[in-house]
Amino acid sequence: MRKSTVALCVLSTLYMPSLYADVQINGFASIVAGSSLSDDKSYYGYDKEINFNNDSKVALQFTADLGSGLRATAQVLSRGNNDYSAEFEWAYISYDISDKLMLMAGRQRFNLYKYSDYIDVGYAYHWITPPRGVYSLPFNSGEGVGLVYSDLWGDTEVGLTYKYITTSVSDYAPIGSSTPPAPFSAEGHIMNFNFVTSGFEYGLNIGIVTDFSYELPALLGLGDAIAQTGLFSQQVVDDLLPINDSALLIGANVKYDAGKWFILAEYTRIDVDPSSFNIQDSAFISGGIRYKDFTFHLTYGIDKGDPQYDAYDGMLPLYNSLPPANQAALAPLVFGTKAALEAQQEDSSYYIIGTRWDFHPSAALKLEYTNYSNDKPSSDEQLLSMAIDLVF
Amino acid sequence: MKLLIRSRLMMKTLVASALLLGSAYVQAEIAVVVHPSNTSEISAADISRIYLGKLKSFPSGGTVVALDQPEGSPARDAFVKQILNKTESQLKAYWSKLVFSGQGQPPKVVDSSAEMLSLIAANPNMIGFVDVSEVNDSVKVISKF
Repeated sequence: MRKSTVALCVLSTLYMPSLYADVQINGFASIVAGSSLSDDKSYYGYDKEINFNNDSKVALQFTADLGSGLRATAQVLSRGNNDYSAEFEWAYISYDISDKLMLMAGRQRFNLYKYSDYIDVGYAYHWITPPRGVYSLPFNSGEGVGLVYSDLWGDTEVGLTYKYITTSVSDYAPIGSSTPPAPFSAEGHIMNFNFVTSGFEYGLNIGIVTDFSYELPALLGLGDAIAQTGLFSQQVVDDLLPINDSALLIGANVKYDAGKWFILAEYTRIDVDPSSFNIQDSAFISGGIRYKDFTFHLTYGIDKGDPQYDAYDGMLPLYNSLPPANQAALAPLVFGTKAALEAQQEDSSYYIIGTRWDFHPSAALKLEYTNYSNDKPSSDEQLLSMAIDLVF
Repeated sequence: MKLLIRSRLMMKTLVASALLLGSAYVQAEIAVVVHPSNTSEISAADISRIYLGKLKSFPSGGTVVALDQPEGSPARDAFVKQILNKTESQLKAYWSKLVFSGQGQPPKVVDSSAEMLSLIAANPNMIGFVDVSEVNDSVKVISKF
């Protein structure tokens, strides 16, 4: 009796046009515990004390299928580092224009890199979190429209996307930094070119951010102080502040998955207008072997952040021409600017050793050790973390 | 003496058939089925693409609606392993990428093989799979694994 009722339900959802949409509920969760092995250091918000909140999250996704290729989707995510308050990470309407072309409108992902689209779904990849140097951008999600094209060209699966996205957050703070939250906004175009031929995947991502602003109060204050001297051109202030700037983000990735083992690499570059933001280059290579329900993996990566000295260089000619007494008065401003430009510089490398155990059809247990060392400024950190990832 | 030989032979046959039965039990033979009116030529690679959401229409035209067996059923286990060439965890990881980025939903899961057959018999757009022993005249077998 009960079975036939279920069968009837399946029948009705499959066949009968209904006033009520067929709503699919999916979800995922990650419970992550981590601790820095160094006494007095912190790494992306982890210190000596075991922390359960930094990377833990729970999400529910509701997809209403309205028929004829029209769907409405909402993904509500609560993050431990945000007191588990629920926020809409995705909220969009999608429409299948054809079997190959889909339109998405609404809140969606700034999918700049290989893992951006499902960065929160720990179950979908082998790490606890994908390499943080690459995947810690100020903008994860934004509002916009996108076109997703997928097709088979011979034996090659092709995925092409174009998105126009805007985002605006009032309280952006880089993960693990003590910088006070400040308004951040961005808008731009994103293009993804992804290809899969049997076990071989490769992709190119291009982000053209036409306008972004990061209104960090301390930086704005420094800009005001420079302007108030009346000695320097507006250009110097513009070259310091990341306000109404543009950026070009490029990512390239390649992966080979042989089933029993896999290897992947990703390179990303962020080229920004002169400001306190660095030119950033990141790359990592990661490989793993699968044995029964276990995956053992190893990752090595580098992150470089090169300061843009345009603002400082713009101040030097005048500064150098001044008599020593005046130089002394201006020195805090000039070298304060230099310090601000260098604040985010980085020349670091890391390796991650980890394992994933698929102990249940819907759950994985992960253990990971990260060793990070930075030459500029000099620091070393080690992180031990453990996670349980679920999908349902 | 004769008797002994015969019984040895019998033993061998028994062992051999037991082995055969055993392997048949471990590796269920799967029949991929469609509506009898469906004339599409569908390769093994295409079946895999249909079930991974990469191919959404039959080669001869018409939208594909793929039906899946319940997780944990012998038919599904064999299908995922032999045709999709994945473990259940890998398949779930694959779908979680698509589901949570709005790029697709996994095939609908039916309750039983009987239900799958009756659904397919009534809808030319559907494709499904059952254990070979469960096939009946209401559907057309396009592939066996």
